[in-house]
Amino acid sequence: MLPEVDIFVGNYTLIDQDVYELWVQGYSVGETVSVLQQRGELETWGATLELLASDTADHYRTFGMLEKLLLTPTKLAEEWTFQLEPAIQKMVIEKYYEFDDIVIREIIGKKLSGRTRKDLDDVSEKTGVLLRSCRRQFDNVKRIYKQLDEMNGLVVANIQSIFLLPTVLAKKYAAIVFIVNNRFETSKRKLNYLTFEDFNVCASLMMTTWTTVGPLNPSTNLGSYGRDDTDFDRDFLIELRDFKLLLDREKEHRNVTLSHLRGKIPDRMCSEVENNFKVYSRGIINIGCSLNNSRDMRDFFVDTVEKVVDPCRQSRWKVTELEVFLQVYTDAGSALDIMASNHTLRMTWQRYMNTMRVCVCQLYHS
Amino acid sequence: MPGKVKVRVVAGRNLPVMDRSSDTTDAYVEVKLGTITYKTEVYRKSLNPQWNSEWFRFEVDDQELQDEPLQIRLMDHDTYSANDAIGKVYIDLNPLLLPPPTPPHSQRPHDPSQPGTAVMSGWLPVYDTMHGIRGEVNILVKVDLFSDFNKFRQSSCGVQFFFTPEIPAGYRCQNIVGFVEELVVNDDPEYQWIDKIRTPRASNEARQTLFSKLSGELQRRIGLKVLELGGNAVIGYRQYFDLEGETGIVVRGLGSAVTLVRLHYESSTTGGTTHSPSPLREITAQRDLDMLVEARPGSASMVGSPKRSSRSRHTSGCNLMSRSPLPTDADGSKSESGVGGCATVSGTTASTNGGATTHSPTHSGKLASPAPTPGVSINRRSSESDLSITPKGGSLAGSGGSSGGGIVGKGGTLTGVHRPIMTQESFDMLEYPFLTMKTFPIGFILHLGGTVSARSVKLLDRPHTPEEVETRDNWWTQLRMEIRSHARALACNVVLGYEEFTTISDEVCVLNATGTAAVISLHYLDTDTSGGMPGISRSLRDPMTLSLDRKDFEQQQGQQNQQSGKSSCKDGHTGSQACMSRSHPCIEDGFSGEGGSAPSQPPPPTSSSAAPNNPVPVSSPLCAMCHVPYSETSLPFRVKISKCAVCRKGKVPDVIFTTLEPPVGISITGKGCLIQARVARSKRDLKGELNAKEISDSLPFLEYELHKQLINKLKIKGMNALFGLRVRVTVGERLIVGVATATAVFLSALQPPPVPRVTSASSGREDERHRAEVQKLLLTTIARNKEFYGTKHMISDVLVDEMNGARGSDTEDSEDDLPEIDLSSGNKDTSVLELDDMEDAEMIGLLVEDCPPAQLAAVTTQVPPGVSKDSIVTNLQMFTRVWRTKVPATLNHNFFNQYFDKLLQSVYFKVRKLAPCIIAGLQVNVELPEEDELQISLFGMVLGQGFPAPSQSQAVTSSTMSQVGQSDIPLKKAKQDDGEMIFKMEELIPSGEDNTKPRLSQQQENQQPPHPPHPIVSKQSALSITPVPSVPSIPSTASISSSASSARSSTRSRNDPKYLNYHFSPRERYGVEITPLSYIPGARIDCHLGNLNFFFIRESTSIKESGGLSGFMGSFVTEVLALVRAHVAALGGNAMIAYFMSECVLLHNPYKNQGQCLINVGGDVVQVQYTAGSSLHDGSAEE
Repeated sequence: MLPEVDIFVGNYTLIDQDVYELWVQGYSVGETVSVLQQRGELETWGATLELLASDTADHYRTFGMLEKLLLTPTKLAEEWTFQLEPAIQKMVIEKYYEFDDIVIREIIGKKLSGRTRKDLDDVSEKTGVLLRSCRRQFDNVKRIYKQLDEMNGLVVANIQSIFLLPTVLAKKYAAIVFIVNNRFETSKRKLNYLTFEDFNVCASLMMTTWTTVGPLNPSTNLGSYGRDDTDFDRDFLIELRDFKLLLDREKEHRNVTLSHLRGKIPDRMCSEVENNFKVYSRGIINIGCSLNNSRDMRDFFVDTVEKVVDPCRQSRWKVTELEVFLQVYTDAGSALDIMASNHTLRMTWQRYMNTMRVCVCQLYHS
Repeated sequence: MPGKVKVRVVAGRNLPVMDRSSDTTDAYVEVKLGTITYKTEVYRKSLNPQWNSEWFRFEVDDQELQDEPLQIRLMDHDTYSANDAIGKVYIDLNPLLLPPPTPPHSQRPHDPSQPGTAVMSGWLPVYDTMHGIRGEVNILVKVDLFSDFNKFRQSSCGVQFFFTPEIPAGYRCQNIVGFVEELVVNDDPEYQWIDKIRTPRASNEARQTLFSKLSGELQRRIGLKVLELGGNAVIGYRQYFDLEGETGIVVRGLGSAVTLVRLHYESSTTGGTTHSPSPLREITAQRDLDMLVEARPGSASMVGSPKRSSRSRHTSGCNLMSRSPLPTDADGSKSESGVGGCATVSGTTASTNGGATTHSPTHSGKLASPAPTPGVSINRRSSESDLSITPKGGSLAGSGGSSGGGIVGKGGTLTGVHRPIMTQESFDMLEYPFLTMKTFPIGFILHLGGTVSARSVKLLDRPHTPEEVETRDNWWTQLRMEIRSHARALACNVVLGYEEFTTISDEVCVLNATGTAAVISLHYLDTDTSGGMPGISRSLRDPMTLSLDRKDFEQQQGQQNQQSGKSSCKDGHTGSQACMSRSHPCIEDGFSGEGGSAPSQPPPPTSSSAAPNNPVPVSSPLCAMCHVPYSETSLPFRVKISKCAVCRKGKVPDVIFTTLEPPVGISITGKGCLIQARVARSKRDLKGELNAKEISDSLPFLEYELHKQLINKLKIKGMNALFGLRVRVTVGERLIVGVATATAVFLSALQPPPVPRVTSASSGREDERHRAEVQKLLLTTIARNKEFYGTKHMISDVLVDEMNGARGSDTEDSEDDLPEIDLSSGNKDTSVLELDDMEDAEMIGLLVEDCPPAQLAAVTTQVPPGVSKDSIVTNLQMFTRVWRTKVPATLNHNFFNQYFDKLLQSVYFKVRKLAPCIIAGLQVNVELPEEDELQISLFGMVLGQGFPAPSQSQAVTSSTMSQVGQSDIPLKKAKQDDGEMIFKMEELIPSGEDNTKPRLSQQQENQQPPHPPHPIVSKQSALSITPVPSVPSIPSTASISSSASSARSSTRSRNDPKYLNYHFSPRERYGVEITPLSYIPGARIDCHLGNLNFFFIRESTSIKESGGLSGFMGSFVTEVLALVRAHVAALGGNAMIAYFMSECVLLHNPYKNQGQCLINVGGDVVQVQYTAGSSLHDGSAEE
């Protein structure tokens, strides 16, 4: 007969890491018990299944109560309810806010609405991650996004102060917030091959270089007040339109690029550049020119893949070669006469290309 | 008008949303004390309001201060409808009425600017009986007490209450003045007519408020009794709520009234320093000089206020004045010598001593002079002798003793005037010679008689009337008289570890009283003077030094030669007394001289000095505790008596049952273990008088069965004594349940338990075969137990001795008033287990229990007997376990026992990852809430075992072993030994791991194999002491023993060093520690900040939604602990010791989806300091 009351409460809240991880992964009590059983927990400790079930149920009850506080992690240290050693506090928060890249990859392209939440079983089916876990990850993203939406300042710092997350995780969330905030298109079929990490790298880079806090942003005032790295630097986007000037000097650009490229990459690739320079260069420049249009901005990843990455793929670039080419291409652009006369244009070009270069390489999966 | 309470409400945080439309709250606060209520402004639309209120002032009587809780109520303001309650905070003001703790170093968060005021401040959870914790409120409470020397006042502010059942750390007990008890009776609001029309919340709050008031009133009245008796504190305080239902509620309190003296010690002399005494001798000396008296009743009398210790801080102005003459003690002394002169021998003392008599609360003087000069300390010392002015004989002892001690220190002759801690006359005056304490200093207990208990069944048929108090008083008086006569029958002069409790079912109330009869030394203070008492209290304060005390004991056993350098602790004792009498100005020289001589001076054997007609050899004075106090001929019952196995002179019984902690220094072989006897008897469901009669008739049988089970289990465990015995009888509608939980030990002085012989009445072949089987099972179990608990060698030794008739020295030395006993009267045949019917066979099956898992152990005592105190390094977890199930209508023994076995197993399993650890202070309570329901609640403390002391042989009498001698052994050697061990162990492992490995490989690839929570690879080089002897023997055990134990062998794979994760003393601890024990391993208790006692009620009408009853209870217990922690912290403490949880009543109505739970918790708030880092032990472990 099942006991009606079966509790074990300690003065310190001790977290069993194994059970906690399973809980975070969305296992139910029963599932966790059978997983632990498979891991040999019973043999190791010489216990019956009953004991393991009761123990696990206790842990789950604690986690259930703990979860309320985990939504606002600062309360965890503040409130008296749970006495957790600081190291455990950190661990508990970190684990709770950790996510599966594949799940987040699915979520970032969607609106963070209740409807999306309802449809998470598709995500769960697709990724093989338990629905409960998908929901938790979705809710975490939504909570952080909502909280950050109302705040100014650096996203990473804000996330760290409000959610007490470690820097690495906070940076990832910052990228997610950035992607969601700018409503980038990520779910087109063409983009299916991209992982969360690809978006993460690109978004992080854009945040540091193309937003108002960007180090290359001339308008950055010294104080941090009013700076925000979730929004693009409008002035920069407008200046990007001037790249049209580069299109007129495509030939010059090509020649300079080629002359610097020889010897650095195989001849086959050089001739490839010689033949198709127009395709690559136009692709890159046109994306830049249209970024001030928010619709085009949203399609940044689609356009990049379509206009730059795909042609590259057709010509079978190796990633290292591509990197070299883009570097040389960037430098060649800077070396054009027109740049020498127009300082702003040159700064903008470098600011744009340094990021674009990395993004293209990141999005290029050979 | 002696008290002013000032309250300021600062802010709130994380309040619940009370206004759904705006998702905020318009909160304000009502502050209420007695009949006066103040309100703050409404702070609109915020869940984190900032009131920053003015100071609300209450001018109240101190009687009211003690009785009334300060009530803080948070409300949500509504413009149109009635304001909603958010929740409440109850603040017990009693801790703020105590004398200031004057910590040795100013770590206390209390308001330093106003030393005269007691302050409490912090974030306190706001609690609602329907919703639980709902946010927190930050408040500041200050209490200013004015002096009230009125003889006829009704208050007893300043009498300190300790739940701790021993002399609290940092105090010296100067005088035990007696047993105090009181009870108050009231209607229970839950059963008043008004309850029918008010909300559950209102009803619950009415109850909580009432309970809080009653417990305040009770404490005040007991305090008054204490003052009347001339004491200044209550230790071993216990409070009980008898919820009688219709007839109301009875709140009872019990305790031991004592005169406590606070010891001063420097923060620099932590426990660790005593390990390396030579360079620190001076510091130690300083400390001893500082072990001085401060405020206490007698001293207060100097200014014409009899028995008012609490006032010291309020008269701080005087202190300031008195401080100045201190350095020039010569002047001061003369002026006061008249007062101090009462001590006869203090002629020597007086010259300096008198100085302090200017004023007692010299602690303030101490604060002024951080580095205490000898002059100051002497002054303070003298204030102690002043204390002798108190009318009690016992306090005279202070001065008399001190001089006696001085003489001992110098001349080595014991001529002290015997002024005992408990004088004969005062002792005789006591109506009931009962003490509620459970731990006593060495030498206090002369003989242990045995457990005495009395029960009485009463019918609660009338509602309370004003005389009801007398009725209850009479009931208890009868019981106490019975207990007293039991104790006398055992020729004992006192009952220790005394307790009174009830069980109520419908209209029947069973009153229980129990305790341990013993003979105590009425000349105790002699031993105190020569080093007993201060040492004890200090050692209990700091476990690290306890080993030193044990060493003292060893020293007494005649190994004084090597001690001189090391026994700084010992020096302390003698020294402290020596310096008392040292009046000459050249303290420093005098001290060092004395310190050197003190250790070589053998401490007077406690019992011999106490009872000169009963000389006990110096070599082992402590086995006398086991000797029977009565003469064999005059026994009212049959006891088997034999020669003491240690001294071979005294006579010892075959078993000793006590409710006490194992006395310090008593010689124990092997380790202790948990023993539990459980008996359930069904009863008819009757009403009224018939019911009472049914219960009354049933109780003796229950008692008998419990006893039989205990005895038999004891034998099978191979033990011969029980400590920390706790018997609880619970009466339900259909059942009477008795559960006895105790810690079994093997006392070296007692004979080894005989092996039970199985007999069978019928002589059929089948029966005979069965009998043989059972006998064999018993034998293997006993052998296994002996091995496991390390009692084997000793037993065989003793047996051999006995067989050789080695009665060596028992000639003329034996106590002549006790007749010789006949050893030849066959010991063995007395233990026979009959195997007549199925039930008997079943019983034997129950007796054969498994050993607890390796690396885990459980005991009911504070310190696990037989485990070196050094090896317990830290508190790991205090736990509360509540378990309730439906029971079948006919509950057989097997079923009933299984519940408990499973529950214990589940606790072991719960703490498995904390191993190696020991569960100490385990308490079990049983309730029968409904006809078909059984609820078992247990709580205890999980203690972490540290790095084992190197090269310890377990088989020897480990309790008396001192660790200090070994601690200097080079670590290399130890490692070699351990290395070998590990090798042996790993050979054993494969059998366990083979099973697990294939399974592991089948796992999903992303899951890691099980691993210990924090694998510390580098620390694997050694094994814990406890299991070592048992581990290499696994194969042999497994092969002989039956299937039950061979199944266990696989579980032993956890002995794999991979899983062993030794604990270390914490350098500091996060948060607030709560422990049912009276010490914290690896920490020193700096000051006591008062006692807390809460009664919480929680009700819910959405049990299902909150995770069922388990969810409801789980969150309630969690919240109760959170509330306790918050109050501890607000009082400036960082730990609660002597924590208890009683009256865990859970009512449940599944049809209404409703449940209600009542919990009473409490304990002593203390501030502790973790001593790790300075300790040698830690250092070696981290090598």
